[in-house]
Amino acid sequence: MSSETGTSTQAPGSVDRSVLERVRSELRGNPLTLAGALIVTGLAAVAIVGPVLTPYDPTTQELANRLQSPSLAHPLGTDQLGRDVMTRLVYGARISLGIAIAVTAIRVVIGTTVGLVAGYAGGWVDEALMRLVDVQLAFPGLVLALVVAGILGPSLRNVMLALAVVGWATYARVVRGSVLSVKEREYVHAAKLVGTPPRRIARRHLLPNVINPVIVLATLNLGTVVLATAGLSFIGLGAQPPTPEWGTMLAGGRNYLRSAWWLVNAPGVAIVLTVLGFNLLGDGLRDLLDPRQQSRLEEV
Amino acid sequence: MTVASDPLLDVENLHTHFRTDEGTVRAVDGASFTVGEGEIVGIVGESGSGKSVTGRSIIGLESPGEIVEGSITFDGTELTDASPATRRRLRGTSISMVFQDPNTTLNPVFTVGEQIQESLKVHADPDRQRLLEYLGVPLFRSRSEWSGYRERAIELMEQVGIADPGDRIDDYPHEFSGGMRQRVMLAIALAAQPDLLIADEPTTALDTTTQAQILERLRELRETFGTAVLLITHDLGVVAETCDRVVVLYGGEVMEAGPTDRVLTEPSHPYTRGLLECLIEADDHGSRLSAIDGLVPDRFGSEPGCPFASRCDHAVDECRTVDPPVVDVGDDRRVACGELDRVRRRTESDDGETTVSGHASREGVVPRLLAFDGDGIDPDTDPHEHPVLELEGVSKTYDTTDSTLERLRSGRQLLRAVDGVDLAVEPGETVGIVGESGSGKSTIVRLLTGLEEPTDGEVRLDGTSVGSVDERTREQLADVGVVFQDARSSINPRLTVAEAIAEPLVEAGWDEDRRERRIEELLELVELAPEYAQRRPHQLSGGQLQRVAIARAIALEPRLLVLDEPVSGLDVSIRAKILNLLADMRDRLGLTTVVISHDLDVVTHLADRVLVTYLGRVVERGPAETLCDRPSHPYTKALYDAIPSVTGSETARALAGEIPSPVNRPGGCAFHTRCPMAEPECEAEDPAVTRVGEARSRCHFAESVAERSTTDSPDSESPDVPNSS
Ligand code: SF4
Ligand code: SF4
Repeated sequence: MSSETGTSTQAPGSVDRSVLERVRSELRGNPLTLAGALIVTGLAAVAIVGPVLTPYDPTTQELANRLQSPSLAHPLGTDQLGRDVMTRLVYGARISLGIAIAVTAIRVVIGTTVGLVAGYAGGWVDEALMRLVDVQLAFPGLVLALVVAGILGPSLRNVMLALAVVGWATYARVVRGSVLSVKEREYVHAAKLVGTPPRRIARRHLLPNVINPVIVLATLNLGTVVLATAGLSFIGLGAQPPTPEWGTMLAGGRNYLRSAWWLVNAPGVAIVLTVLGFNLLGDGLRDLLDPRQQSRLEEV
Repeated sequence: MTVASDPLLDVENLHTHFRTDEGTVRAVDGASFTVGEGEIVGIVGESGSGKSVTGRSIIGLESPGEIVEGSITFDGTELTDASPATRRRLRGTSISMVFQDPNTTLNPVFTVGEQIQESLKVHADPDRQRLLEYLGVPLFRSRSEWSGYRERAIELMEQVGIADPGDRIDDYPHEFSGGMRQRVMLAIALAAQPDLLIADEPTTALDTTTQAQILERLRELRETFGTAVLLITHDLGVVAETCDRVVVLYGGEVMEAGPTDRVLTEPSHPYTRGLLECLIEADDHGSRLSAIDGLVPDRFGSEPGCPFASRCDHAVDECRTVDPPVVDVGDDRRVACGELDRVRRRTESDDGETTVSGHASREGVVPRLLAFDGDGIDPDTDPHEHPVLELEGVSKTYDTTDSTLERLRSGRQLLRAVDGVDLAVEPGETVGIVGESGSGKSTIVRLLTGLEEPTDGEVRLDGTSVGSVDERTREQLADVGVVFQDARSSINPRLTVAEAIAEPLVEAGWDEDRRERRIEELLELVELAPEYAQRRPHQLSGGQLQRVAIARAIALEPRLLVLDEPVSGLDVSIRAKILNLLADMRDRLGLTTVVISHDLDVVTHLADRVLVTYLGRVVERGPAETLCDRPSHPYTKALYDAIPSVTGSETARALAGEIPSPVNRPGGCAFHTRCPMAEPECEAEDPAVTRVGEARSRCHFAESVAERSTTDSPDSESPDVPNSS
């Protein structure tokens, strides 16, 4: 079917409405996306305002109150040093989300730039950059991050760096792939023919048309980064006690599995929820941003 | 309905609707028609008329749409409430479908043989598939099971016209050309030995030469196996060539139905008339084409009334309030129009006028033609004035060797896309370049615009040699405006119309105010309302987008306008409008134009002078009329012969074979592998360029070809005499 039946009678300005419409119908039609969106917003809200609301400090020890089971004063109990688990969890959300966003942002920037350059320049530049990508993808990411973090020494900042340098390759691949197809579109040729410099072509014509899969990938990635950060912290390469990081909390609580179940379960559930939230949201975004989904309507 | 026995397929009052966020789209809205056994029925209409959805509804692929009303009876079985299993069984055994784009319907990871055999398998045992299908397991069975089907598959490939089927059966789809892939699709469809074949725009993506071959196959099928065909197409020429009966669809309703020759020669319904009038006739070179007003609406309302009323010249108030009656006008013809008598009277009185004005416009064109009638033989121009564009001995060779290893082992594999092309385009002239896909014409566009650099030879603009885009100066870039083939991909979907048109202006350093004024001017020039400036591409139709692309191309008032397939993929009525717009624009702005197309009609309509390319070389060049009336190269003649004609006076003659790969260009005359006139010497010796009248042809027998073409078509001498049929 040809696309001749464009929506020619729409009033100007209806673009935004139709985007909203689509978002609304996706949320309505797919409760999982809605769940993902709610989890992620909730998490973000907790991370931003949570610390203001809790009366406790995440690091002050109150040995008198150690290992108390959940109560009204301490909804999730206290840990072995008498700190409020709820408070630590809330501060932990801040750290986890902060790191996840920072790491993903670095990955996206590096990956997208490499992908754009490789795809658009072609030739040996492409060849060289893509071999670099291959090399990186050949190593299991977490193991590589482990090595990097190990070399740099244990700290949150190093975990961030380690995760950032091992994760951008996927973005580069995805972006390069899309660029290869978009750069043969005739509007790119048209732009070249009026003398548009490469940088402007990349910014104006390529980037906006290849960014959708990056957004989806980044959302899914936020979840994995949360998990990886927690993992590295758990084995002692990331956040160091007494930082209220979920992985560190897990590590600290594992000796009390039998006596104080809340110690490991609280951060555990938090991690699972976060990863789940980002994955559900990512899947929803994929449906929403998939060009095939969009054109389905136009085809009718 | 006068089909004597029960028809094979009977569609009654079919309604297929799509529910979208923005309301219900009534794609098919009360269509009724029949297909008899062994009959070829065409469904025609513009895009958006509901013709594809109708085909899909029959075979059960209407989702995400829904059949909300009506019945489809196939061979006595009601399909609309049949169980999925019944429908699937019918698809495997009695009804097959061929789609427009074989690239997306063939699975790239299986050989064509496997895919044909799969279809044979399903046909033999339609229920076997079920479990695998449910589990989503890809087709995979032991090879031994296939062997019985292999022979049958080879037979089928032969039937659909694939040369050396025994060798090609194990090739993958990407190793086939577009036309060949469509044949494979046809073979897959035929494997089921269907009683009914639904073909949805089966030839739209193909060259006219290949199209003629495929249509011939369809007719043969009917002769040999009595297969009924439902041919869905936008091309009235294809209908005229192939179909016994035609159903004209608009707004999901049947406007007119009847025997093809009657409907096409004496259309009754205003819509059918409109469609026919949009066509380019051989004798209206350079004249204005008529077009149907307005656009196909996005969706048709549920209110009663004639769906065509918003675009109909004859519409009266009643048309908008009462459903038009279906009138039986005899000869098995039905027309859905309440004002038939009035329409007939009015058009009869109009007809006289139309002919007169047609003549007038022809006359009006002559001066322009005369002015440049030198046609490159003795350019009668001021010696100080350079041609706007010159190509001198331009060649482009690509290295297609895959890997360094291969390069070392067997040397380079070179593909000569363009081979020694000379061309001079004088100011104000329009030159057309025509050829099948693979003939090198798109490479010529890339070379003259500077998207690629020639391997050999020189491209000159206004006498100055120019290199690739990166080397051209701002002025040189501004001198060339290009309109690309696919309007939808030639405008960045993220920009507004104004932003897209502004691009060349921004690069040329215009300030905001000036740009805004210019954009307004340009929109007016291409006949788009000013409010379109703020819209985005997805809100525009294909024709409107092409207007935007034209506005962008002429934004800087280029000296040279390059049109690369400017109207391919557009509906006839929009095509006519765009062609008129282009002609106007060129005449008003005095643009020098190069138009490239695979469609000889389009090229001869616009151009003063035409170049015909085959395998990267110009095989014939000359004034458009001369080439059209008296082609002196067998290839040019074959291209003309392959165009389906609506008057149906002659059937299109298919050119045998396919264009060879430019990697292995045949020796001697490159065309000898397909030339109907080839002699032994053609294979041995490369023909020199011969002058025949005003044309120049690269053929050993140019003279006699030209003579034959004159005697072949008696009416070509006097193109003003309408075809008698
Ligand atoms: S019914 Fe009226 S609007 Fe419809 S085609 Fe006939 S004259 Fe035109
Ligand atoms: S030279 Fe021979 S093969 Fe070539 S076009 Fe002429 S007749 Fe045909």
